[in-house]
Amino acid sequence: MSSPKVILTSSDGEKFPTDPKVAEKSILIKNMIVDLSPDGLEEDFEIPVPNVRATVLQKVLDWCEHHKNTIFPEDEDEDTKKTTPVDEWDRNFLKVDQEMLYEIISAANYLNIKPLLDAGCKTVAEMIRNKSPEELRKIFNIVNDFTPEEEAAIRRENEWAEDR
Amino acid sequence: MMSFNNFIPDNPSPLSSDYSKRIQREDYEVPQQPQLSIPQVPHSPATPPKKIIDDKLDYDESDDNNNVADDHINSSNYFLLESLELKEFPLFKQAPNSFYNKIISNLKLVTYHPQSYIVKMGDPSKSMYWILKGTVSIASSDGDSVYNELSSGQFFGEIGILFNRPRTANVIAKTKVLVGVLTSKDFNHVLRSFPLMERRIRDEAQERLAMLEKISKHSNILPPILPLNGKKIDDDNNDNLDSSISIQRFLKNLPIFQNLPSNIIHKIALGAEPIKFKSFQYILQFGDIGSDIYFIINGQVEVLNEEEKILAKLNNGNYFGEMSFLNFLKNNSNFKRSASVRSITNVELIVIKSNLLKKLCKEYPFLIDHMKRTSETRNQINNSPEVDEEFNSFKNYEFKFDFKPLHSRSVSPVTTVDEEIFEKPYSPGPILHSVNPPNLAGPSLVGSSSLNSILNPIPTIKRRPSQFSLPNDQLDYIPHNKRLKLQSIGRRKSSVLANTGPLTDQLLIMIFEYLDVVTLMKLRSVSKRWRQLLYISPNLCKNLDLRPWNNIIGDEILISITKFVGNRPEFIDISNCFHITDEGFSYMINEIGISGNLKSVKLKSNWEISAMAIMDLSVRSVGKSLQEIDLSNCRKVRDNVIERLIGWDNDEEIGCKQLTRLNLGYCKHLTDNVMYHISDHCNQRLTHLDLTRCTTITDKGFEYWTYKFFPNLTSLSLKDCTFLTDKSIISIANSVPNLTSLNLNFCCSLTDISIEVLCIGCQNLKFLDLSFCGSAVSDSSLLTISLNLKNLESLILTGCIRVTRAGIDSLLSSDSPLSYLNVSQCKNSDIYPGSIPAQKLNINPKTKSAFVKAGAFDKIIEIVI
Repeated sequence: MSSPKVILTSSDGEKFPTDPKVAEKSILIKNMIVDLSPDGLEEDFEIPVPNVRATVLQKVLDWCEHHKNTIFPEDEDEDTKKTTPVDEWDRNFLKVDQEMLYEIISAANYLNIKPLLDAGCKTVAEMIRNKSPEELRKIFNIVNDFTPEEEAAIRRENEWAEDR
Repeated sequence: MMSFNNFIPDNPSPLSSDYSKRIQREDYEVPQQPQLSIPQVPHSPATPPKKIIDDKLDYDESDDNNNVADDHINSSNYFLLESLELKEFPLFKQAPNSFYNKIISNLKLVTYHPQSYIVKMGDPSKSMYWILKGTVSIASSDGDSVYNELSSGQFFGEIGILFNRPRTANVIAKTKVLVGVLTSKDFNHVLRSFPLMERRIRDEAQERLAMLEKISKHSNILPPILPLNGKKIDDDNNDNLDSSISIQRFLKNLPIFQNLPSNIIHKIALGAEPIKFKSFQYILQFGDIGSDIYFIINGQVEVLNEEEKILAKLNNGNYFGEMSFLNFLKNNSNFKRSASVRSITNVELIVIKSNLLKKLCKEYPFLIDHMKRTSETRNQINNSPEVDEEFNSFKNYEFKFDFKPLHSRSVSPVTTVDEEIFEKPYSPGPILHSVNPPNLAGPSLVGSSSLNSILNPIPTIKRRPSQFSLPNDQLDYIPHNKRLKLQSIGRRKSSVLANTGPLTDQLLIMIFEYLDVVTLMKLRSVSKRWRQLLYISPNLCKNLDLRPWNNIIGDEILISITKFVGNRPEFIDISNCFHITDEGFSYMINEIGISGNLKSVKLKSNWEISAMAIMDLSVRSVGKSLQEIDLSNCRKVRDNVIERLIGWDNDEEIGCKQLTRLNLGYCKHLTDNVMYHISDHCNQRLTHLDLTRCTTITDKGFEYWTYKFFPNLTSLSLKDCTFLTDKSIISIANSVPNLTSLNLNFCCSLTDISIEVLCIGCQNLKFLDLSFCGSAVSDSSLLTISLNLKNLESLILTGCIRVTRAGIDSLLSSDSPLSYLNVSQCKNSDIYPGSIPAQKLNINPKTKSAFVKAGAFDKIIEIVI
């Protein structure tokens, strides 16, 4: 048998045997492995991922597989991190329906996969930029709970930026 | 304290010939040097001869007004000063005794005859003046138009000192005048020990200056009070001494005072003390003893009862404290405060002492009635949430006037205004406009709503219910501290509410972090939850970069942005936002600066912002974390701004003690003094200094550097400092051993000597720009560079015409990590000395550069030709 695997179990019970090197893109999993078997895995290691659905987990693992050799710079200063555009492959990878996108972000957050989380957040930020409040409410399924007066008041405050 | 002006007199007539001789002698001993001793030498107030040196210089020049005073007054005539009740002057009333004594001991008494000039327009400002007796006029240069008059108790000239501004008008003695003169040296010296007083004077000066600048902008809409366009004040109006434009106009426009004649307003203004509070501070506490009345110039406060329940909010133009004052009037011993008052935003107030007001009330009983009404109304509101119909009874109220109107403003129209107010409480529109002129109360009046609740109490009552539930009424600004307190509420809400959208708050905030401040402001209108998240998330808006909107951001927009970001930003970049003036800038700095977290402020080309406003950054609570400031092309920056920003080693209160990066490019008014200050007080910490085109800094400035050590200075730009010579470079080579980047672009006066000393003293140089230093760069100096600067990576030699291929060859063969060499416009770069043609370089015609493999390590070097 080949080297031991990390077996991730999704919320709906599906099992994903994964190469440890790939799985360790998730800092959560990495720490778990280090804590529980400090000398490296000797046999398969099962980790439940109770709040991620199988389809989402599959996507996340695809990302980890693709980036298993990518070295992400650590502790970049905030500014560079925020201004660097999303990597081309990631951009295409995240061209999914919104539901899936949000779930990927949530999963990346839960599993502590910082680069994926960043890419996801940037993608959503791009979606938000240059949209009207009405469009955004639609996108995020939000009910407008302002009175017309309140909304008008905020709009007035933003007027200067609107006509650009 | 209340005087209007930045007209600062300078040339007092010396008191006796004996005195002027003494001065003259000293003049030789103390040549006209930069006043370098100010920060250091603790100079004793008991050495009179030194003090008038500055003024004396003026005196010598202005011998046309030789109205030497006949009174011989002993300069240390303390008792005379005592008898003048200087202590009763507003400035001193709240000052510690020691401050008063210090000022007194430094004052020089000078008298002027009627019609003699105290100050001439255009003269440099070197002192400030207290009028002890008599009256002066402030007049235009031709002396035809009288702008203003000041009388005893007032001072003038402090702005000139604080701003280093030349005098902008003539000040002429109208009667025989006795003034106390305080030189800028003494002024600064005394104030340094009294930061609080200093702050107070500075605030006042700032207001006045902003006011003045505003006035000169809108001089066409000026009320008759300030006839700047040359209208002469009538003789009958001479008792109308408009001293303090900002405060006086503010008072005059308050409904309670609008019926008073101007000379009475003036009295009030004289007795009023301005006070500032940061947001969320207690101004009054329930049960405090006190009966002074507070007027809100700007900002918002909340009134709290004993249980800290919010009873009301008060805005610009409202007053409070009247209840205990009324008790005080009744000689009721119980003048404890009936409620607490706390600031919501930054608040500027003026306090009117109960004694002063008491006198006034005797003469003008309607003042009492106004306050009684307010107080009754407030009591009613506080005791029952219902709107009481009794308001209508005010309609029939009649004012008693027992004074003769001195001003053009007649009594009858005023009364009709008042009736209107009470008859039509729901439509205050036109009245509000009439009582609230655009530049009513100085710089920070922007978002000023109105004087609504005094004028029109009913809408306030209507709004009250919403004031109990804060987040509901969030269109009013809530300070960030307070928003943070609301955070817990927000969390709870979001977990209770089912409809939170597909993303959790935490993720949403992460996403928001990638958006710019303007987008975030727009997102407020999506939903209440989003709005709350946007206001309370501490990690948002850390970096406030407004450059993309530079040409549309003015004060009003800046203030509304500031209200949104609260005190979250740590980095502010408003470079090229040239519409911003003091009004917006001060608001922003004080609001954001509360946090004490500001690390970097870039104001490039914010040329409207005055020195005073920039100095706000030097307040310890604001500037304690500031590491970087870019003031390039801020035209109003003078030495004193930089001195304050840097602070003094022995003074913990003033200055940004973490400041290490300083960009002063194009600040053309800086002098060698600033170099002295830098060498003395921040040589250890300074890492970056940009002096591009500071052409007024000379070799002398760098002389101060010679014996100081700048261990951390790595980057220095002296671009376009054309007058610097080798002397400066020698100083730098001596004191700045760790320099890695040096820009000497266009320092044309340098010679080969500069290069030689740099090669010895600054061997860590990586980047060196010697463009157009033609007389410094020769083949032999390039050889020196190639042998000594072992870390050099980039060298720019544009326009150095002595350079030939021989020099370039020596650079290329050095074993430094050189990777970039710019020899464009070096017309001799393709020949050897003696016009021997060299091998042509293989140049890409598009980029005008050639890549050459050369040097000890076969490095690739880009050569730009």
